[in-house]
Amino acid sequence: MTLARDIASPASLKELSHLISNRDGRILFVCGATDFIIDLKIGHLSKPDLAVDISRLPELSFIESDTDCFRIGAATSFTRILQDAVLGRHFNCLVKAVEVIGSVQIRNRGTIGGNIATASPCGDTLPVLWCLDAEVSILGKDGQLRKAPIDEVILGDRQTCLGNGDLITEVKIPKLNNGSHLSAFQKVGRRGVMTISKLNLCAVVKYDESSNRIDAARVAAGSIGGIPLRLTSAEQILERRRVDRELIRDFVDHLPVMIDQAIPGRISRPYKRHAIKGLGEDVMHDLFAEKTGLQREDAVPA
Amino acid sequence: MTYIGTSLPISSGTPKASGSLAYTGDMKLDRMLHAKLLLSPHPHAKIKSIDTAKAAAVPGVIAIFSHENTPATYYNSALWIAEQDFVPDERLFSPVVRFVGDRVAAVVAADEATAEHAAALIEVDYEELPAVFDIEEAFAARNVSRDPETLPIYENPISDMTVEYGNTDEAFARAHLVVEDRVKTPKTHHCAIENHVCLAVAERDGSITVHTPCQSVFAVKFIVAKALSLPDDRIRVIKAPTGGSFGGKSEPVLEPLCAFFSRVTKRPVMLQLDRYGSIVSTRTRNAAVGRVKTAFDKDGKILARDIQAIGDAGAYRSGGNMVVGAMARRLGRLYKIGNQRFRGWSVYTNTPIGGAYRGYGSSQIHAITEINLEHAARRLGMDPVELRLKNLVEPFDDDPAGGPSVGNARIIECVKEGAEAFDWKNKRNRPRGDGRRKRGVGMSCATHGNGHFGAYPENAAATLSLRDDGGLHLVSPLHDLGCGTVTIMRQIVAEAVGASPEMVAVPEADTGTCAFDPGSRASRVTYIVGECAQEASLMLKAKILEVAALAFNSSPDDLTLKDNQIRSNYGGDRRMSLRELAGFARQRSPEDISVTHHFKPRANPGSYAACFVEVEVDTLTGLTRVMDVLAVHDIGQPINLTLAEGQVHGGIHMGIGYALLEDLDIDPDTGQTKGNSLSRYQVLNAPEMPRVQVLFVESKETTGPYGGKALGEVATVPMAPAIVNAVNHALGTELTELPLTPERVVAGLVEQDELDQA
Repeated sequence: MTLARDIASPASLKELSHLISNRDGRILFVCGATDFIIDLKIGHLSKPDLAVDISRLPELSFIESDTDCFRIGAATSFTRILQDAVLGRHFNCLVKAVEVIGSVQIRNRGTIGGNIATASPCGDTLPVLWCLDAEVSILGKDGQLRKAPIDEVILGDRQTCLGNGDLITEVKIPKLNNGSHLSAFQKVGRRGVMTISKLNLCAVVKYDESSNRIDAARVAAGSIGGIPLRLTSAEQILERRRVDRELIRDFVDHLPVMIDQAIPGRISRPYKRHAIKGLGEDVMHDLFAEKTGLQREDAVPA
Repeated sequence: MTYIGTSLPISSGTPKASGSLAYTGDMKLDRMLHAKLLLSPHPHAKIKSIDTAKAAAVPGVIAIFSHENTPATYYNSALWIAEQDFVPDERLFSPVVRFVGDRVAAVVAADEATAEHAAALIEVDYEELPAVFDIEEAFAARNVSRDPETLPIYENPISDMTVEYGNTDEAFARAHLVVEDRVKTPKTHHCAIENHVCLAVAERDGSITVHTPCQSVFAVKFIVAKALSLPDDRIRVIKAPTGGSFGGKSEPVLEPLCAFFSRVTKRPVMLQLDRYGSIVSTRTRNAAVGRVKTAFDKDGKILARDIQAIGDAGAYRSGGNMVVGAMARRLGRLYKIGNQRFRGWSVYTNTPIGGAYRGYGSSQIHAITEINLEHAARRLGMDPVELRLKNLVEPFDDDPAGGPSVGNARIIECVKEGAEAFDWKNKRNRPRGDGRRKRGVGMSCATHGNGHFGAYPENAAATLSLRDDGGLHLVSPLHDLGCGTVTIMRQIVAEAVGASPEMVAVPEADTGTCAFDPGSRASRVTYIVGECAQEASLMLKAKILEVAALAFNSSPDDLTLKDNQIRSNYGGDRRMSLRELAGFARQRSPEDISVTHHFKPRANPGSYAACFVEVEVDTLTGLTRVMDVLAVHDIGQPINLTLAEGQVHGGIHMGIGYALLEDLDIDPDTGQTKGNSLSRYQVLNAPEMPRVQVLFVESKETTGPYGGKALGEVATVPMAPAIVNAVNHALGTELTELPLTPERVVAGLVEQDELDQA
């Protein structure tokens, strides 16, 4: 099976720009290639005129910590993200999402840029990037660099703002105040591990430990519609509230309503409106168990 | 014993682990062509026209086949004996496609990529016809011809059978309690790592040699001959190394096509399916719906049982009726039930074709009856183990339905030892948790047969020879599907003769050299062919000692053959190796040291198993985690302990999939198989495999080789009902539709909540 009319594997961004600037036809950038061949086979993708392997570009594989943000190269593998201790301390939700993507082999190959460009409704990093206000850098075919917030890059089920020859180069995530921000991510699939999300949920909160209050909250769910769904009314429940069992119950009880509103007629609604309560409980547990000592009510007797 | 019951390493282990074993897909022959199939996108449609012009124009395309240029000879792929009278309704390519995945056309080209590319260029004009996907809907439309073209036979039901003994109605009338259930089991895929593949070679003399990882070379031979209207002797079938089968390669699917393509093109043709093709267009486990009513007296003794079951044969008949027959044959062999009635039907649907699948019929019927017993125990207020112990069969019980004796059936020991080792009583009575996650334990018993005897003709044949190099050579039509048949035969021969296993060569089946054998099916190989090999070995040993007696100038009775050496029982230093003896015999013996043995069994005992499992269910996400499994098996004497344990581990893995995950999941509106890839058809992954403990009740079966019985199929049968029972125990639900997906568990809990509130 031929993958493309033409295949190139540039060793630098400069070589890449040179290669594509005057190129006609449809260009597809390939990095981890975890979906590429499968998508070609099942018809999710049509064969490009030029497939460009970007996995050898050193400029696209990095994790940088700036004063106000982290910058992650588009071709940075999930495994590398998991190995970065500083990033992990900052963004628990990102680590938790990346940790449960596919298998070890997939995480060794798969990249954050690929997760964005593929724009699968069940892409696990997407609700995380939504909650973290990620900004995506895009290098145009003409060599112009532009930046766009994540919710302007991903437009729908496998739809992005990326034009032909547009290459995602990096993702910028604003730093959170480490002392006051907490985040968590949970997902559920058909089986316990190595599974595609049926539903996932991410929450990032600004939490004041001294008063045990949530000052601000961002909550997003994935695998519901084409793009991650911000759960703004669930955020409002959390904001300016003391963290206690009552809050957790209010939050969890509200989540099914959000599913009902998001996918009223969908056949998966009865399941998702129920399962999201489980994800909600788990997310709240991950956010607050350590800080508040609040334990689950459901400990199974040993 | 020296070799029986040991853990001799599997002979194919190193070649497989090192990647040096050549499977069919690795074979390359001079001038070999590659074929690709075009499969139907519609569940039922008449092919109005096929335009192959664009495909034919692709450079490298050699031939294109469809119903227009292939024989209209109908065959039934389930037969394994020449002239077996099975209703034929399948042909190479049909003018009417009956399910999504049915064969429409094939391209044969110089390489695989070209064949695939060209197949996609074939333009087919279909006229869509009404289709039925649901078993009960198909059943409701009985005796209605559904095919306007009245192509071969396409009416429901395919079969309608009744088995009845005792006085069921009378027993129900005096019942203390009647417990009724409706249980549904899914259509599943075998998931062998090796997809379906075949290589056919048209020979210069007009014959065809077929290399295939099949389960029965003779079935392939007869069906290829039938489909191509050739005499049987024009077809030679050689069993290739197999990358897993589990029943999926029991029926010839690709072989008749591949043989025909090779015959027409006069070149070797390789045909390999991808995973989509293997899932939708080969064979599946028949889905089933069963209604069971069981009558109990107040002590929990089963008075009578009444079962109605429908099996989903899919779009072609294959052995759909036989699967239902196999379901019926288990019913009097696990519990002592004096009054029983079974009515079973098989129906066509416009879905992938059913066929053999590990646990043939047993998996379906045990799901139906063992889930029912859990509910009965609940309503009787009895422990499920106690309830079973009151009713289980005892050694050498007769089969009330008239089948062979259950043999040395030790299921009671399985249950007792298992309950003890699992700490059943304590675990069962532990609190299940009052929060989100609930724990539960469940158990199930199961039985499966040992060969065909009592249902179909049964025989085995083996030729065992002492070679001139002192090695032993067993020629018997064996099909090692990966589970260690070859290794087991080496152990049996070595043990019986007094040789070491590495001296025993066991080539696999080849119709060019072997006598007829039904193949690797019906859990018959270890028990039937193993017994045949043991008897042949003892005969050969007697011959060896007779010749040795000449050399030793003594009576054969005074000689011992052990560790490849013959010596006198009366001492002395003289040792004669088998090699020396072979040389001696070549010069001095009037005949070769070789025996050919034909074996006809006269028994078909049951293999038995009891499984105990613990699960944890998340009542919000509906996910079930299997925490702990204990399996106790009565397979008589295990021939190879490691292989036996491995079989049980694999059976448990498959059973968990059947209970919780695996389903072709046919779309009720479109007939598309939703579980058509490994990302959508999910099996249990290694990280989720629970702790597993395997015990064997080693009580020898007098009719089997060294007291051994079959294990491969029974290993998986009790798992699924045990898990369903554990989930229902954890949740207090009565879920009966497999697999217990998170959606079904959640729906069951929501319904339970609504009932509680009403």
